[in-house]
Amino acid sequence: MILTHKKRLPQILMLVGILFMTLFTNGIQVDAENSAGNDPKVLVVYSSQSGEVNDNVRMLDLLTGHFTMNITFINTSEIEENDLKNVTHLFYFGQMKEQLPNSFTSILDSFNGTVVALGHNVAQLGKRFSFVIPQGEAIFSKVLLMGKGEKVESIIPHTVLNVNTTKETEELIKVTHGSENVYPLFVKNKQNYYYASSDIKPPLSIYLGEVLHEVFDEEHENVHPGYIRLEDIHPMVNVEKLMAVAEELKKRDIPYLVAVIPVYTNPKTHEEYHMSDFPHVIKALKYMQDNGGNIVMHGYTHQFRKSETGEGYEFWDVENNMPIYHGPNEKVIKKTKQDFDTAADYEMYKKEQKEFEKKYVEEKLTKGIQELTNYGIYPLAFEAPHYTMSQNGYAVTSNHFSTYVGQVQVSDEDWEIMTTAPYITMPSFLKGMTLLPETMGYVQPNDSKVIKRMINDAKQYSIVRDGMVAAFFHPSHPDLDINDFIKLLDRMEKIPGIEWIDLKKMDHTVTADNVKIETDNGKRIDNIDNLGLYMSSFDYFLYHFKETVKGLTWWMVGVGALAVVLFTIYTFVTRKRLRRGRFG
Amino acid sequence: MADVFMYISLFLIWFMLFYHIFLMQGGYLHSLQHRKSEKEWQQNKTSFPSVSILIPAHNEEVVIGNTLESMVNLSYPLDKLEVIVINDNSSDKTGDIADSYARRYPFIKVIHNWPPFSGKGKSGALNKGLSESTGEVICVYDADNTPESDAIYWLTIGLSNDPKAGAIVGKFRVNNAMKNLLTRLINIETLTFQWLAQAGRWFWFKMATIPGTNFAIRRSILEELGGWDEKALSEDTELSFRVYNLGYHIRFFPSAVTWEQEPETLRVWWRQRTRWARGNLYVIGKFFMQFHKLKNKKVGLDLFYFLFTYLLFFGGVMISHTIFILNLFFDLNLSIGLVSYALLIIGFLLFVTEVLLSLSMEKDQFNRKNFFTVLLMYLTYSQLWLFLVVNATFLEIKRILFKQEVKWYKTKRYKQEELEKDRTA
Repeated sequence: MILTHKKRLPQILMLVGILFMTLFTNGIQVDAENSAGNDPKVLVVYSSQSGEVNDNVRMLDLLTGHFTMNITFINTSEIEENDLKNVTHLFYFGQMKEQLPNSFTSILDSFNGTVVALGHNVAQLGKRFSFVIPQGEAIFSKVLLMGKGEKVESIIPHTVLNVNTTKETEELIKVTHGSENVYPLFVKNKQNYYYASSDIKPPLSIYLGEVLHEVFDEEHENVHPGYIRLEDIHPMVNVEKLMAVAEELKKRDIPYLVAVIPVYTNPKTHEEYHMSDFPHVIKALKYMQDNGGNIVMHGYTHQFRKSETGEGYEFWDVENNMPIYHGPNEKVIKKTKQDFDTAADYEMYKKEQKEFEKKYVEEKLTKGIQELTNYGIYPLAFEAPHYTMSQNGYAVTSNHFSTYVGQVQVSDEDWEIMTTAPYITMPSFLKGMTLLPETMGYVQPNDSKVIKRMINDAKQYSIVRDGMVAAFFHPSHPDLDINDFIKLLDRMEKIPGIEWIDLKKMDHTVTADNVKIETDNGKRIDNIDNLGLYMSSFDYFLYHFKETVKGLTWWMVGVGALAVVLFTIYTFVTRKRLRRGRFG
Repeated sequence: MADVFMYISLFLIWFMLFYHIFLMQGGYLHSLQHRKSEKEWQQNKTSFPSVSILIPAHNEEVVIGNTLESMVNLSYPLDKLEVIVINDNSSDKTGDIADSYARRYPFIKVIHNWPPFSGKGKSGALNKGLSESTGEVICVYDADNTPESDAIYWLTIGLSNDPKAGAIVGKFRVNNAMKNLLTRLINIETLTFQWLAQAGRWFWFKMATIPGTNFAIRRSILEELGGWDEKALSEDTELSFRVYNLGYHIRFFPSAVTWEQEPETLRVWWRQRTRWARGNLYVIGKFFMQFHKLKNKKVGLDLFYFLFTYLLFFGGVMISHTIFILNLFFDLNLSIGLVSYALLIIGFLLFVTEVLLSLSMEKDQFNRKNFFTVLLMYLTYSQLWLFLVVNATFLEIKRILFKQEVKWYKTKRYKQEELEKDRTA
């Protein structure tokens, strides 16, 4: 307690510092805006069934987020001249066939930045896109990336919106189906680009992601950031196996991620086990933290209802396939707009649901961050259990974490609509969080070909110049052992251009009440108000108290043993002295 | 929950063990030191003060003869010596034996104390003796004691050379140590007590507890204090506290040796120890209530020690034992793990090494038989103390609740036939 008072001084100094800084922020902000002004400003005009941003549009968000933080989405029906102010790159995403408003065509005509059109309705886009003439749909099964090396990759058959192009049009990606059938997939004419498909998901996202570098005129170095993430590390984990993996990584000097779940729930008894009851797990995690491991918080309990930790979904009600808008034991009644008298009532209902979810997520994240921090385990990023989380969930998470790890759920309707980005990106739907995408999957036990498949995926993502190669592994899985891990590592290390990500060397901020963890030049800076933590939950104090008590008992053993040795020596000295005739 | 109790008991117990480690260290250092003072004082040639030896006796016919015999053998100037036997309502031949010595030796006096002036316990007898005595220095011996001939010499030389000492406490040895297992255990206990607690406290704090026998105290102090507290069952502890409070220290001086008898049966032992324990509880009660009034707060150290021994340490051991037993039958989910075994072993080893170190300071006590007795002691003799404290506490509470009067239980004596043999063993 006394210590925390001492720690308060720097906090007060910091507060004063912040006060001073706010006096000058006006100037600083202008600067920030200026530099943001150099960033491309992207406007995505989309058409979709519902009229709202959907999963495909979010995929585009993921792809463009690699180049800029400045992305706006507008439905075709709502576009106005004003929306193009300062826009450098305009994307039109024709997910479906529709009649575009004339105003949009004329806006396009008068725009003098870069335009990328994707999918349908290209014929309605006016003069700019007169270099493409739609021909109808065709099937393709190979992709040919033009330029450097002209890589050909086979993929499962997809549909292309075949177009004829004018002479001066450059073809950046070609697709084929057999030697006869060659179609352009991505073409360029001056500042205008056309992507001849409404499908931009993996694996096509890889090719689109690569050529977007040309669209944004960004060179980007040819290195492949990669990570290996140790998954589902909860209090009941097999520490021996975990340590074996940690030692192997240390030996190879590979930084890595550890996805930690602070609480384990027994599926049968529903009893909760916290890390505090498993000091050897905390010890192992601290060891990893000090030896190349970076902690990623993987939910708080990794379950919502009474399922087992590591199995359950924490931030998604998977039984009802909907966000957490209710308590685990509440009966779920799904209501639609028709169930409400007025639109306002419906909006109110939705707002309440989101509030509920916000509170739920907030509580879990706060507890998780505080609890881990209290043990001296400092999370730097977040990963939702099973990658499932609603858009609202991401927004709430962004208040606590600046980095998100894994894949992303891009729909609020269905958790299975999940995708990944080919590279590190900051899509607008993550509200400022940076995504470190996982692209290779994980080692499935009893599958002899799994590592080969994973490496294959890595090769695919290596097509992108700075494509991500990232995988995860369950160190504690009963059917996996260190040898499986070594096999994976051996193969991953051979991926050309792989550069292991060390989270500490990137910028992160993690915040919860009384806790702020930041990184600065490869160092972690932990700002923890211990007193505040202890006030917020007695358990936090109790943990430290218990640790102190345990430490004290070993001191007692040490001092006691020393006394035993001393007294034994005294006894012999006394005997020797007395034998010489000097009795006590 | 069990965890909480476990740790509470651990810390209570180990607080005490650390204090004992500390005291033992002091005891060892004092054993190195006291020979030096002995030499120094002998060279100082101080004059002999007049001494009155008080021997309270109640039905001591078995031992009083031996005791007076050793008084006769004391090497001290006879003109400065006075031995007063207070025959406190004895129904046996104690008075006669004492009278016969008084007739033969002019420096031996006998006071016969009959009802209604008798039966006030040892304190009462001592006060009576004090009133009839003339010496500048008062020494006290129990009726079963046979001091070595130079005991009084050492006690008085201590007082003469250490003006700050209100009292000098000598060492007592057990003359029936080899009688049976019990006396052997008591012998080991008394030696450890003297070298650890007495010598240790003297070394660090300049304190020692007056043991009821073989000590010398300045008459002036007794007069200032108004003699012994007749309500106290352990008049010696009580007196010690008051001497400290006057600002004097009590010196432990092991050169002055007396030999005494210890109980030979458990029954006698139990009664004697119950009296001590009750007496100490009385002292805790008396001084705790008036602690704010005490001038010399150093007393608090001993008071705290007693409080700790009889309440906190005792409680800790009880909790620890309870947990140990419960854990044999139920899974208490104790989280303590390995360290508890380490503490158990170290605790035991501390006990053994402290006792052995104390024994090693005596020329005839560090032997194989005693070594095994020490190992046995931890599990048997030491555990008896728990029951004793429970009993004593119960009796004291009863006394206070029902306002009972204290009854002095006089320790049973034995005829010491093999006395001489024992001494030299």
